[in-house]
Amino acid sequence: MLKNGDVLVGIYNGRKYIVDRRLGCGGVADVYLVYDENNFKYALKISDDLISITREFKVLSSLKNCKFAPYIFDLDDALLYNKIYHYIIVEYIEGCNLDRLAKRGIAIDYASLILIEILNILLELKRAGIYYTDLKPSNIMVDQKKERIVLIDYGSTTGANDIVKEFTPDFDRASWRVGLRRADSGYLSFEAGMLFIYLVTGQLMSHDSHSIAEVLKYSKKKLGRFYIAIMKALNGTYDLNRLYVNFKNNCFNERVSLYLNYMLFISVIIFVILMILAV
Amino acid sequence: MFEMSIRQIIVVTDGKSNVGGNPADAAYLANKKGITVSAIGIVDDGILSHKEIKDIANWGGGVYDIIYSDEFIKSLSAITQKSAEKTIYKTLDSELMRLIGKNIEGLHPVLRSQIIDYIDKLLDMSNLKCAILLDLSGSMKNKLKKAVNGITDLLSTFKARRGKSELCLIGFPGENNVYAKILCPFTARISDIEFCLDDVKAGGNTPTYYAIEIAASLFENEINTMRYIV
Repeated sequence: MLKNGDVLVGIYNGRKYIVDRRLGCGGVADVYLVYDENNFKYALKISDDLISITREFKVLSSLKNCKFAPYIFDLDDALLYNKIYHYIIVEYIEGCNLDRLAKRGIAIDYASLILIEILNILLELKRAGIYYTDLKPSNIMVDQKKERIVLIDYGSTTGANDIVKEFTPDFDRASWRVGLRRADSGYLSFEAGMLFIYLVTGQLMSHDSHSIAEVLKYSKKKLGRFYIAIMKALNGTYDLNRLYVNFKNNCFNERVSLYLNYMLFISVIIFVILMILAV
Repeated sequence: MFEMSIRQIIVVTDGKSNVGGNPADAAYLANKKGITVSAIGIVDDGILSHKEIKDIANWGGGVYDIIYSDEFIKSLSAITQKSAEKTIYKTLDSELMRLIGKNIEGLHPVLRSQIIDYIDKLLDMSNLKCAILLDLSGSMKNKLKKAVNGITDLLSTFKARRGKSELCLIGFPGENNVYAKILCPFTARISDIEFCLDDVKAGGNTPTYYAIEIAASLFENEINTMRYIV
């Protein structure tokens, strides 16, 4: 749609942006790297879908003082090839997305640190009444310069208990048939759990031909101590806050409760044997 | 907040209409009756007519998507949403034009966000009637399972809505040289649709024009019977 060196002029604000190159394209919008007149770098997201762009502007404006969301600068229309397009100007994030990192393989300790950070972000968004339902590696950027994790693409977020607008089937609770496609705490836990499996194993099984039980079985070894927490998350109803706390203290509680269960079981057996002997 | 009912037809095909008139004409006529017609084209075999898909959506006032059959689940739910969104958008747009002489695009971008909120709310609360037109011609045979999966999946999207949602399933062509067969009339009960999805078979040609026409008339019958009851 836009070429290198094109100049974009906003209809309402009159600001000028010079297009450098295309960064990516999604189903709805295209993203470009642009410079303004003072030679500052920005990312430009442009689309003819008014609803989606305006929605993203609204969400990003409410997240202006959050570290994990790209800072929003501008919303405007532009006339291109006799057609009105809508765009937002956001902060340009230097770094790469998680998809690229995951393909190289991520060590489990590092992956758990990433997931803790992501869970924290999801919780913070949830507290603000925003449910981020399209969590996937290509929507998560690792900003090496400022050492932070940034979620991009807020056009598909929804409110509590609303219908999920956009999703990726592999990370979607309803596609795996373990719950409704409704934005609630369990939905967020599920997608975070799936993301962790993807980060650790570097691949995802398709939901057409596999069940959750199979996914868990194949990834059990690699998940190690996080296995139980992930199993609960993939149940579809696990509370996001509990998942976060669980990961935060390294699944300590889960392991303790597992050992306590073992000890309880063993002591009951000993008790029964003693009873039999006594009789 | 005003009550709104959204009526839409979604055509799912992998080929080109080869019986009857131009499907875009049927889509246009349906759109005039207040029904939004959208289309999903499955491109696997390369026999799909891209132009036809685009034309159906353009004349039917809806949206389109051209996909591989693997992406069907995601696409069907996205198209249903987008098409409903577009219907509400258009209604509000003309309403606003009537009230203040400006449409949504004419407003200042920052002001628009309040209207978007309203659209989101309406989208969730309104009554949705959706007719899915499933191409059952010979070439669809090996994609049918994925298509059926997609439709069952759409039902789980509907379950999460606050408003009433009804689904109707039409296959074209029907058996014995019938242009289209109503596999399942409008229903809100998921078991009804799952039941009729079991015995879907593919074979025959592609009478897209007639299928859209029949689907549109189905909405109309509904309106007439409603009047009758009143």
